[in-house]
Amino acid sequence: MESLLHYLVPLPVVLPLFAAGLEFALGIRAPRLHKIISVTTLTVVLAIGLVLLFGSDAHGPQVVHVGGWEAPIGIALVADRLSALMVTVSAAITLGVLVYSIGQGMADRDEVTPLAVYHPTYLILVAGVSNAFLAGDLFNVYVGFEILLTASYVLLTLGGTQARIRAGATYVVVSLLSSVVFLIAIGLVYAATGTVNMAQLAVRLPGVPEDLRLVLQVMLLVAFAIKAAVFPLSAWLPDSYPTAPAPVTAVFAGLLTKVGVYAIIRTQTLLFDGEAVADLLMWAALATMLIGILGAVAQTDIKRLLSFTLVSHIGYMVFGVALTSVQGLSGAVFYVAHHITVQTTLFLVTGLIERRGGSASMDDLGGLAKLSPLLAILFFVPAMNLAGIPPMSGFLGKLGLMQAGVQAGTPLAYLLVAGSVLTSLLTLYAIARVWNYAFWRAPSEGMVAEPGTVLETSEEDDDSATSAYGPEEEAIGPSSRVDTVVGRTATLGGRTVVTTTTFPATMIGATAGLVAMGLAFTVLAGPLIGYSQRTAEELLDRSPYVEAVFPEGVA
Amino acid sequence: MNDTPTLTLIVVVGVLVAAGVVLLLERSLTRVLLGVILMGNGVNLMILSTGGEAGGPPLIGLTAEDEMSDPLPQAMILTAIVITLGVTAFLLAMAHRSWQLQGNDDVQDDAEDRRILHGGERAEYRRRIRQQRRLLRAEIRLQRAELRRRIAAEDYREARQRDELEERLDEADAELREWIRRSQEEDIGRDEVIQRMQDVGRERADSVEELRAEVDACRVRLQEHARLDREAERELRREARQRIRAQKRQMRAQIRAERERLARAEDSDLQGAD
Repeated sequence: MESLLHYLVPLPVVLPLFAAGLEFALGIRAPRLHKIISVTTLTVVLAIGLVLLFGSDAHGPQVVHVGGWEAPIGIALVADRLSALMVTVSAAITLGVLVYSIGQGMADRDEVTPLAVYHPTYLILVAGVSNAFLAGDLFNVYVGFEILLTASYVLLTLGGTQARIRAGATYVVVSLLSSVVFLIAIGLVYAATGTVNMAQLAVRLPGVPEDLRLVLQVMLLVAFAIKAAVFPLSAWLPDSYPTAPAPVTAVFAGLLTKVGVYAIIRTQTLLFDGEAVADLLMWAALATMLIGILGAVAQTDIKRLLSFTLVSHIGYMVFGVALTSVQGLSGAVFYVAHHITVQTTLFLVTGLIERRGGSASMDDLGGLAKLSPLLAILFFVPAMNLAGIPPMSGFLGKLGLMQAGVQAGTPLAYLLVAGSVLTSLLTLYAIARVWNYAFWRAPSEGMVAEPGTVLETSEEDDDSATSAYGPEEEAIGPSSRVDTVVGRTATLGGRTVVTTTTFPATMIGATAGLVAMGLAFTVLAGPLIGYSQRTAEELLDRSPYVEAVFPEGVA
Repeated sequence: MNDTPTLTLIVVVGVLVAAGVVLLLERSLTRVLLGVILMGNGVNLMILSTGGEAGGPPLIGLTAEDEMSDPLPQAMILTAIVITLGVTAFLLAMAHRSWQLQGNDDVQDDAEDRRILHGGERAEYRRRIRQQRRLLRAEIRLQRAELRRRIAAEDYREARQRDELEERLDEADAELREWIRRSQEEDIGRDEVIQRMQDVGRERADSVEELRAEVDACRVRLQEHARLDREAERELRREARQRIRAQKRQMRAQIRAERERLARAEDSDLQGAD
């Protein structure tokens, strides 16, 4: 049994890729089949993630040498505790968002695109994310990044409306820049050490001259910090995420930045000595927290506000990494898992709010708590969780990080602790503002759109699209406009969105499921914190990872 | 085997990356794309140079092991080239779509930046509204003062008239009394008095009657006048109120229109649409 465990490692990458290929082959004729394939695949990936989670916890890191080529020559996929946890959480999140988006009818809103691209692209995104988590090879991490980035470009500009093209342009250019920096760093690492295998690098990098090592470390850090939206490199995020459809924004906000955080954790622990840039990371974390949350306080659009809180809370994870202690890392790992869930949930709820009230701007919303109590509960729980109200997991995560900060005991660490308390309070303020405006205040006349109001999201874009494509587009249009959505006439981001008082059960169910998952982090806090402790110890020890990849010792 | 990279490659890498960075700083998406391609090629050459000196094909049996070139950088470059190809295709499609939608392929401003940009405009606009409000208030004050002045003038005129009438009334009264007194004083012959009375008295009596009538008429006129006056005052007030209200309405409409304009300018969806 144990000897078979490692065969599961490549599946989170391979299965979604195969499923995506299958869906492409099926084409647009079988939208139902697409849904079945996607949901089944992600469920299986989630199950595999769980098995790997327990397996790697019990039996140490699981390694697969792809193609049977031994480590330094072939590519290794490694599932240690951190990777397994990330794969599991990401599979759970992506599954939830997928179910939500099926409810929303996203997958069938392909009027503007001739192929049903949503499902396959989504699966490719999942494959890329899993690949980045599991890769045991720096270049393979790059490939994973590129897979998920390319898929994310497509998802972000889905439908090709003007706002999305505008936001997409920024996102693509920034991502390309980070990829180039990453690639340069890989080239330099290879030039310096003659390998890109991470386990081998862990052994060889200490032999590299210190200055050169610092250059490599900082270059990789810059590349990952752009992805993770750490402060001086975070300006692109609040602008590009909110324009995408709600499920896409949700999965981007939850996952993509965390891939960057994962990469930072991995390189800072396995490849380099985290101490070297600890102070730099501390200051970056402080700036990310405070500037991010100040941006959130100034927003009126809920999606933009949440994007800013996302940036701000990345600071907590960077803080944990910068502490380079077991407590700090363990706090960071726990916080990553918590934050992925909560942030995704909040974006999904915002999608529901938009659907109910006709807007995501606090100025146009009011009295939702009375109009839709269910929505209010779905928003309130993850919102309080994000702000860190005890006994939710947000509180536990922050508490763990602050304890680690106090244990470190340096003046800078105390400053960071103060900063994180302040950030937490400001988060509560920003979230409470949303609550007061959108849910509690009495709506003035005509403020909340009546159910059935058509929100013309992209009227003029469609006109231009039709005129640009001409008859071709018209010919493709009707055939792909098969509306198999459960009782919904609305399609988001396509022609029209209609506000409604009732939501499809899948949307509510998926959101409620994720809210429950956020709460489960509280219930299971004991085992989870134990797990993240062991993860942190494993990360700082390095040897389990290296020995798993090279059982016979490093060449 | 010699591991040091050749200087030529390093220089080429530097030039390519520098040119790429310059192009990347442009606004047009097509130039950005060209910049990305140049940078990508530069980085690929850099990875190639990490493999050291060129050697034979890395096949066992064909090349001696110490003369083989390093295959790993080449494999990495191949992967990177494929990735660049895909991204290039996507960027081209996006530039084309952007051109379709707005006639150019410029990378647009961040919504936040635009808000800050409009922030100055907004402040300027707020200042203008405040100024307008101040002006309106001053005008209202002026109108009120005028109204008060006119009412005071009317009151004054009225009082004067009343005084005048009363004076004349008193005069007439006094004359009447004088006549009666004189008639009592001049205790001359009754006949004479009567005669005189009849002479003067008739006309005087007439005049007393007339005076009385005149006094009454004056009273009526006075009342009428006061009534008209009050009406005029009411009218005046009503008019002033209406004018103030109209001005306020106009200003509100103006403010609303301006707000809408600003909101449109901020709305990224409509950017470039007008």
